Parts: sequence; structure tokens; C-alpha cells
Amino acid sequence: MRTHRVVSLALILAAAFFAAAEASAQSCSRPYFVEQSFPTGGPEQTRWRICWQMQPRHGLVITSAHFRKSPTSPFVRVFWDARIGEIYVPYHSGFAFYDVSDFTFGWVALNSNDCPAAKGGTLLGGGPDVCKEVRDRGLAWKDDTDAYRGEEVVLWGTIDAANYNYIVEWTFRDDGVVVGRVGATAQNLPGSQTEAHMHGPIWRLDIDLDGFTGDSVHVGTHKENLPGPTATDTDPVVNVETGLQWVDEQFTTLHVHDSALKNKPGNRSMYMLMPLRWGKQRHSPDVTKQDFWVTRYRGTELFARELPTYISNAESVSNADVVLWYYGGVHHIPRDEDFSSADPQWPGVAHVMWTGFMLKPHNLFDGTPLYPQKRR
Amino acid sequence: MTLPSRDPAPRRRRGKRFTLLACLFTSLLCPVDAPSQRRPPRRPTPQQPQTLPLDPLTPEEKERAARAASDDARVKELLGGGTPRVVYVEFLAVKPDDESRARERDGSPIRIGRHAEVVLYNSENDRGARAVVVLDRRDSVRQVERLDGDRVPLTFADLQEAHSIALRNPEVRSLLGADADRFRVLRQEQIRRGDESQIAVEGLRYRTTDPADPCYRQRCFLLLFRRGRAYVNDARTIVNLNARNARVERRRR
Repeated sequence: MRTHRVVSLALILAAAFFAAAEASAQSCSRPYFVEQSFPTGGPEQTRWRICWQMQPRHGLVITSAHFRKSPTSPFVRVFWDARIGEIYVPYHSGFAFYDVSDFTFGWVALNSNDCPAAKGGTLLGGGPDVCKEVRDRGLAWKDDTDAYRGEEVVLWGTIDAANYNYIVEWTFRDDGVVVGRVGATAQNLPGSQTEAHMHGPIWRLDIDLDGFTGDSVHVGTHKENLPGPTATDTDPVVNVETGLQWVDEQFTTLHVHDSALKNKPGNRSMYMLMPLRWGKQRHSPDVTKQDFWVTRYRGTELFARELPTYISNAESVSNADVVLWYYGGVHHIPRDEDFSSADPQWPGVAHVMWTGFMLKPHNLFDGTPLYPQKRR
Repeated sequence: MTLPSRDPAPRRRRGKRFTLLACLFTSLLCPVDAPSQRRPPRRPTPQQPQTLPLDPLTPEEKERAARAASDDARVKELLGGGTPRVVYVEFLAVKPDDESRARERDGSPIRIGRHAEVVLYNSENDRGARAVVVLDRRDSVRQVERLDGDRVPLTFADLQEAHSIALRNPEVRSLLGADADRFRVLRQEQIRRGDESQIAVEGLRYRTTDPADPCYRQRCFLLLFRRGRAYVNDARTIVNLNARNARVERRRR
């Protein structure tokens, strides 16, 4: 009886210690600290710990993100820092804007209409600055009569670029996937309201798996061996800083490996950067001539516009501290739906157009995540 | 209920047993990379009460960073004298040389110190500088680099200046009509586009892709005038801050 009581007390104390240790170990204060376990109902399987900040120009910046694949696994750092490094906006008649590096744009304060509690939203920050949404993400998998609906925690804030708003959104899913998106919306450019243009965000992703160093980047390349029926996948390593093309028929992806991080079966863990796009925008600045860039970490190299300079010394990025950059794009052809014909005082708005990427874990889990344990 | 024994020896033994059990459970359950409870949480230093390493800069930290950068001899040299102004001060998370300091463990947050990125600009010679400031007892500048004026972002103050240059142009005044003098440059927290009575001017840095146009390299603004949500859409007003002039381009369809 006495032993039972002592054991119970020890367990309670241990649980209290865990709670205290987890709370005290965070490296940012609330509301900049977001912690989310999944599933939101039932025993925990996975967990994210995230720090964020709103910064002029960059908007919502993720200043750290750690993922835990099971309650008994260690947290793995995914991001040291993730942000928008530029938004290049060329208009078809020949002028352009750099909406991140050229002006100290602030951000839009949010309200409960933006982020309704009834839809799983929580406003964060003093503005409030950021909306946190915990939501169902639809089917994670289906197998005949069995199915699992996934969940995600989404953080978003809005850069106020004069007539335009940019929604900077970061989604952290229950299966370890991260989705980064930028949505362009609000009013078309006064004086050029009907002129077609593009919005090209360039993300800077400082991915640090299991520590800063020891990361390598490989280029995932798919090749159909035409005219034959077979296909081959390769992933050659990137040795020095460079820009890289996305090739549609090759399904180009970038793979970030850590030299030491492996899952239980002993396979190398990595994250795969997968573009979510429908085109390839090219303009006169050199930075728009590539879709991916790989650089060695330098703390003040934050602006994508300088990428051609950043890579000019061709430093080694093999088994190093690396930063990935990804250039996405939206092609906006103004349409009557962007305007109001009824009331000149209510000029209408351009609905959100999104572009982004997915970072997908590969061999991070030891088996299918979010799958009933009894089936194993 | 069992009363505690008055014999101190068994109580000590039970205490030891209890500690042993608690430690055992903790070590069994504690993830390898997760913080343990062996060390107490790191106390905030007196200089940074309750500020954790990845929190945004406080207003006081921003002031200190701006002062340290402005006073630095290397920054002054890069800016070439005159009266440069601070363009922005922003938080920067600099990775430490010792990687173990960047791991959240032992009940402590990461130990990377506090840093700020400060950008300054001298409009007299169109020179800029970027400094990384270490915010500690000495507030020292760790790294300095020169920025071409072309790479220095425009600010609220630049927008105010562009607005005043524009208002001296008769064509701009004609475009704006009788309430030309009512337009104001608003700070972010004052902007309410849904307020129909708000008359404001906003701006975008304007660049052409034509090298023959001064706005290919110089610091130019495209000014956007609005009444409530409705922008003045008949023409574009472009202000060149270097040349200190404004021009109006009629709307293109």
C-alpha cells in the first residue's frame, strides 16, 4: 500500500517536473510561443513547438520550429528561421516592386472577423498580429473502410504593402509536414488596375535537422527513360552554393539530409522541399532566373534579392549549415471580379491568389504516422 | 492513513527511495533531446527582465542598438559623416559558435544572447550601412557592411518627404482637387481603409526596368492617394527623392 502511494506520488511529481521543464525550456515567451499536440482529441501522437515574430517587411517570421514524432521521441529542430526573403512584383508594362526589401512595410492588425474563435481561431500578439487556427485538414489516409482525418495548426499574418495585402501563412501538420504559402490580395495597383502582373515570393528556409551543421542538399530528379517504359529517380548532392531550376517533367525537389539523423529502421531522415506551383516566372533581375537556391548559412544574408552575390564565392554546402531558398509565383490577370461596378466608393478587391511549397518528412518517422498501433 | 515514523533513519531511507523512484521515472520518460528538470530554469538577467532569447526586441533594446550602431566608428566611416538616420532596427537570431548553446535542454532556453540588425542611411551622399549589434552590457557592434543607397529601404520619413515634394507640383494638386492639402501620411496603427472619411497617402518604392529612366536606380516613390477605400485611379504620381521632383503619368489602359 505504502509502496503504491510512493509510486503514485513519484509519478505525479514526474509529470509536474515534465510540465515545468517543457514550459521553462521554451526560447520565446507567449504569445510568441505556440505549442500544439496532435490529435487534438485523444492520446498525443505528435507535437510542434514554434516561436514566431512579426517583423516589418518580412511579415510573419518563424524563429524556431521543433517537431516530435511521438511522445517518447526527442524533439527534432526543423527550422532555425523561416521567412519571406523577397516578393518581386513586375508589371507587364515594365516597372516592378520589391515588396520586402524596398520599403519598411508594417503589418495589418487582425480582428475576430479574420480569425473567428468558432472556426478554431485564436488571435495572438498585441495588434493582434497573427491568427492561429487549429483545424481539420481532411483525409490523411484512407484504406477501404478505414480512414484518418488529419489536423494542422496554421499561423498567418498580413503584410500591408500599400494597396496590396500579402498573407504570410505557415502550416504545421500533424504528420510533420510544413506548408509555406503567400497569398496576394486587396486592391489592384491604382493607376494600373487592369494591368497584368506577377507576385513572386522568395522564401528563405534555414532548415537545421539535428543541429546546425552536417546538413547536405540533394536534388531529387525523376527521369522517364523514354521511349522505353521504365523510369529512374536520382538525387545528386549539391556541393557548392548555387541556383537551381525546377524542371516540371523531372518533378524537381530539394532534399535536406543530416549526416547523423536516422529513424529506427536506420534510414537517413530528411525533409523534401516540394514546389506547389503552376508556372515558372522569369524576369530581368538575376534572382528571378532560378527557382531554388542553396547557400551556406550567414546570419545577415536575409534578402533574396542579393542571392547572386551570396553565391558568388561558391562556398561548400556539403555536410554544412545550409539555407534553402524557393521562388514561387502568382500570375494575376485582372478581371471584372476584382472590381465593383456598382459603387465607386467601394472599389472591390482582388481575391486571394496563393503560391507556396511543401516540406515533407521522409524517413523521419519509423513507420506510418497516425496509424492505429494495434495494426502493427 | 499511516503516520510518519519518528525514527529519522527510516525516514531518510524512504526519502532516498522516493528520490530514486522519482529520478527513475523521470529518466525513463524523459525524451533524449527534451529538457530535463535537473537544473532550474535560467533566470532572466537584470538587463533583460522576462525577455527570452527569441522574443522580439523591446523598445529599450531597439534604442540601445540604434545608439550603439550610430556611435560606432566603422559605421560612421562607412556613412561618410553628415547626419545619417536610422532606417530600422530589427531582431536577429545569430547562431552561436558553440552549437550546444542553441539546444533547448536542461530546462533552459537556447543561449544565443540578444542581437539586432541596424540599418542607417546618409541621404547627403546616398550611402547606407548595416550593423549587427550585440546587446549585452557593452552593446558592441559585431559586424558592419556598406549598403548602396539603392539597397536601403524607404521609410515612413521618406514617404512624408515624397508627399511634400508632390504637393509642390501643380499637376499633382490638380489631380487631387480641392482637398489636396487634406491628404496625410499615416502611421500603420492609424490606417483604417474602411473609414470613408480617412484621406491618406501611401507609397511604394518605384523602379523601372528601363536603365534610361532615373527611377531605374534612384530612390523613387509611386504615391497612392486614397479617400476611404477608393484610391485616386486617374493617374500615377511618381516622386524622385534624389532629384526632388514629381511627375504625373496619366492612366494607361
